[in-house]
Amino acid sequence: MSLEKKGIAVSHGFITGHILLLNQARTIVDKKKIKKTEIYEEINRLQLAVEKSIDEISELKINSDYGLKSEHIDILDFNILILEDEILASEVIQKIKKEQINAEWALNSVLTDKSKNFSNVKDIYMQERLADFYYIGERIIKNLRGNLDFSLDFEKDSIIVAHDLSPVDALKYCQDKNVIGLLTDVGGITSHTAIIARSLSLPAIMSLVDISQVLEPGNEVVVDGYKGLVSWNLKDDEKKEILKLKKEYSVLEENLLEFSKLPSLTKDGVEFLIKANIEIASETSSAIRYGAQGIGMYRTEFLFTSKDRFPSENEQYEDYIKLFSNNDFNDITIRTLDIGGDKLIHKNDDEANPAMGLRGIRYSLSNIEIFKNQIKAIFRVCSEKKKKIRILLPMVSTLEEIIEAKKLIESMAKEFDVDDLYNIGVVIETPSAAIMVNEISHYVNFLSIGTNDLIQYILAADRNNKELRPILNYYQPAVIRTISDIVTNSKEGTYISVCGEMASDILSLPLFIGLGINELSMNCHSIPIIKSAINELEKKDCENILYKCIKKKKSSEINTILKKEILKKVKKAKKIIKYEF
Amino acid sequence: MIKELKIINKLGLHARASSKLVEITNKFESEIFIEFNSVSVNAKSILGLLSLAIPFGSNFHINIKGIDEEEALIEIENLIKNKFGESE
Repeated sequence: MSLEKKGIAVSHGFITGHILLLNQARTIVDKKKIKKTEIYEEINRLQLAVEKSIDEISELKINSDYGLKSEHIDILDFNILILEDEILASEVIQKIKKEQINAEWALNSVLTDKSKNFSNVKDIYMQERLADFYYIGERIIKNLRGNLDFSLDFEKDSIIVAHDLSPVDALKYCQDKNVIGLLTDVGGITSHTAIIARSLSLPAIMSLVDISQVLEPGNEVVVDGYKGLVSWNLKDDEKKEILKLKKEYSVLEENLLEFSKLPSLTKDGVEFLIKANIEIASETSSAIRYGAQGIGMYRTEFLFTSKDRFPSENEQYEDYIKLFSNNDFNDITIRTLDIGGDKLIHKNDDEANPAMGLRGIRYSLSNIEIFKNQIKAIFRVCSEKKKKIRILLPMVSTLEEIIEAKKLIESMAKEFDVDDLYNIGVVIETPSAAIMVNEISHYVNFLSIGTNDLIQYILAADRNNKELRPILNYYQPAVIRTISDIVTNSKEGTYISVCGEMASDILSLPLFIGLGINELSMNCHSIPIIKSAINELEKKDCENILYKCIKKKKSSEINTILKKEILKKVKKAKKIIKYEF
Repeated sequence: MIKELKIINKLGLHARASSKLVEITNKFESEIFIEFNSVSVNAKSILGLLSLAIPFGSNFHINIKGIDEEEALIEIENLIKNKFGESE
């Protein structure tokens, strides 16, 4: 019998392949004899690894991206209790001493012994706790090995299946050319793992609830990353049917590429700049392929978090200069380090609420050398390439921050003699910046509305919390009115872009056109469809749609208006967008 | 001191219940052992308790020895009577 499961398609594409369950990948442990003189060192190593493991879990408890419920806390506490279990520790230590073996082996054999006790227990619930033992064992062993992430060899056409995948792991594994897709139990469209999947053009479906439990290693699956559907155990005729669908999709994909060549003009001739958000410098090639007119935002976090230390000025320079290779983009926007929130923090200071913590410009201004290095690297590229770079400062909440950062950047620009080769802009993503936007607009060259964070801060709703999905949407009157206020209250003639995920939302497009936004910056994939839709919309109509929406009091009403208008006006992209909502 | 106790919460001595029990036993100086089906484990070890997997309705023996054995027994008895804070 064929089986299927539906989740949220966070990155489009249609693929077939075999799955690789990442959660269940076990670490291989080898047995080593140690000398009597090494026993003390070995025990010390074990204790440090256990302590580190406890710290990691405690940290997860404090810094978790997800709204932790009491049962989640219970599970984490349970894990910590096992790690703190003195009986376990003393048994492992005894084994190291008595048999003179390495900590990894001693730990593994004690845990194996313990789990035997469990396999006699008939209670299924209890047997499931065996899994906890494995995870805990894995964690300690990982830390015994100095926290080196394990590397995996992927076979051709592997689809990663995991309960959850951190942005760093996603970036690490999904860049392997043999990995063609990603399926996870949790996560949503604006999670950073989803953003990464899109940035890598990797079909991905999230929020599949228990896909990592349901699928067996090696299962052949079909991933419809348009509808968010995973199917497996297919019969031959079903396979045939699916392959037909695959062909259909590839026709659509060709259409998309055709759309990418369109100019981004409205029907009545108003121009919009459509640019790409990218995570890795080499993505500029897919930006060009999908018809981007520039890079609207290069997020630099992954450059900073992909190594076990921050990149040097020179390493950054070598990375930023790649942004200008093989293209004729006139200007490129680089967003300075936006560490914090759910982007993994590198040098972790315990913060109870990282989304509202020391991140973005706040982090940069309190780590001034890191900030200076980044600006230096940017200016070296400006000066060498004689190209303009727009510097975008994230997480701004006060005017003082802008003034301080600006002063610093201006004085450095003098040193590099690049006065005409840069612009300064800020991301408007905090309510305070939205309120102060008039004053702010007098100090900067451009504004970029960061919808992902703006929405979560305006609604005071964590964007990773699944329970809050009904509240968290683009069409909340408070969101639309805030965006409209940002545009109306800015200094006359301020250049404004939208750089959050909302920029790629076709339903929101009439609102942005109506507001007279100058630039939309989005993931490469969404560019063709947005371009095609712009071609079919008129500025005047969009102004009317905006006027209608802004008066509404409920998000459902706004959603209905927008859906109706888009379905009526956007014809060319219709057959494609039918898969989108 | 040795006392016989009974598990009265529906789920039995599972992970969360064991966690709570271990948190209490570790507060006391006394040595605390639990014996069930002629297997005895240290009640300060979550691994030990879990391996017993004492189900709903079962009796077991608790053996406490030390300066604070009386207080320890009272707290443990309370926890078990209150079904580890579970509704049933």
